[in-house]
Amino acid sequence: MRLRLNVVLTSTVVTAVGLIVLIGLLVGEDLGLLTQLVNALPFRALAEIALRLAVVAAALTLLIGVLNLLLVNATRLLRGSTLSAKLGSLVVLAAFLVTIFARLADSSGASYRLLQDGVLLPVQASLSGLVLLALVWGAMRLLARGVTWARVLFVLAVLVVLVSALPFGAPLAEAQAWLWRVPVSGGARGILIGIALATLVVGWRVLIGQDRSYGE
Amino acid sequence: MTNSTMQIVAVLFLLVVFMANALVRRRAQAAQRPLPALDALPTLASQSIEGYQPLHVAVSQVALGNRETVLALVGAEFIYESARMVALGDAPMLVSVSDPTILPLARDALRRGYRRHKQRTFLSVRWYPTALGLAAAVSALQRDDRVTGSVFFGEYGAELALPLAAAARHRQPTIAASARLEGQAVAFALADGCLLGEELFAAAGYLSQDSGQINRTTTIDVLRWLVIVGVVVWFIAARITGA
Repeated sequence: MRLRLNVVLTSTVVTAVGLIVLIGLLVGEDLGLLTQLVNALPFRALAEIALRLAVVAAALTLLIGVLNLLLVNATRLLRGSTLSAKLGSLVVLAAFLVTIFARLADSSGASYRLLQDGVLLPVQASLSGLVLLALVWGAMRLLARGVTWARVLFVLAVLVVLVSALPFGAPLAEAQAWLWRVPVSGGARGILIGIALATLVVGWRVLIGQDRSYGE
Repeated sequence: MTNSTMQIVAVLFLLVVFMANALVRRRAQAAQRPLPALDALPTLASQSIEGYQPLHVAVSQVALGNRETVLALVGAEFIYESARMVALGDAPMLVSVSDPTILPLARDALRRGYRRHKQRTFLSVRWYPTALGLAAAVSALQRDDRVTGSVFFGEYGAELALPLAAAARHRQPTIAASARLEGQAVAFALADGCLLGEELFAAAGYLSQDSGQINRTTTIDVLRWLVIVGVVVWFIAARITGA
């Protein structure tokens, strides 16, 4: 019984707050009777309060995230299943402490910027470089996993785009332009419209309480 | 388009969604289209139970409180369904997220999944800041924490190549679903199974066989056909009128 009451309560809160925010944000100043109705009731004020609460809650989750990062890595350092897991967590914890210390000890922020420019950015840049290598390796591995028409088409499209970018690939430039303009553009739009529709349906169902991915 | 026109269009579109949803609920349940990527998930869960090794789910670049909120909720459903399968045998599960707002949601989904079978709960949720940070951390985590396999869900871009390539090197099975086109292309090339387009919203229905979730997938399909018919009619009308 307690379980059912919990479900009813969470669903009621989600539906009420969701619909109030939706109406408060969607109905503007020039929709005639609908605008008058929304202005007569405190929809906009309630929507603003709900949004502010959401911002505060999101900020609090950042603190939860930092605590999670420390606890998970401390536990992994002590009880990690492999040596590399323990070492990885040790590096994360050490980096966290160094960054905090650099920020607190140097009020000008120079040490912090040094860490950011000298460590964080180069590491991110090298990781981005690795992404390219991983992609090339993936394309090579694609057909080795089995030949299907979709995979052949994928590899052919990648080859056309890559070869046309080379100095001697000019004859393929027109094919590449057509590829971007017609099938790629159309396919991309189709996929994005599909995702947008799905987002809308799920959002609506959450608002009216049909989908409950929370509590129980 | 003026603001009021936009508002009217938005309200009308919501009405269409409402009507489609209501109509689908009244009809007999439709058959679901096959999703081979998801057929592998029960096998992954079984391997996780047999080897007592964690199944890993990584959710990237989705957050509560912004435009990815709905995707975050769908991600939580996916975690719940995975946990429900793994909890059949009391195996652990590991969830990595790139946004701290997902931490409570992921923990709740895990808790519910394990509680469903009245099992001991494993609330191992980890936060790795930024999408690239998560991708790099997960690349190492897959071997270091001896996971059975990984499921990638969210708004991944090209950085998805890092953990997928690492998993392939260690011969660990992967399933990937991204709402971004770059991520989908990478997933298609590197993952053992991938979900394209709105298929990632169909995962919960496909895995749970719950009638409500299946109806949701059917509603999405109905609306998609409505859009296709609308585009074709618009095209023909434009051709005829020369507009």
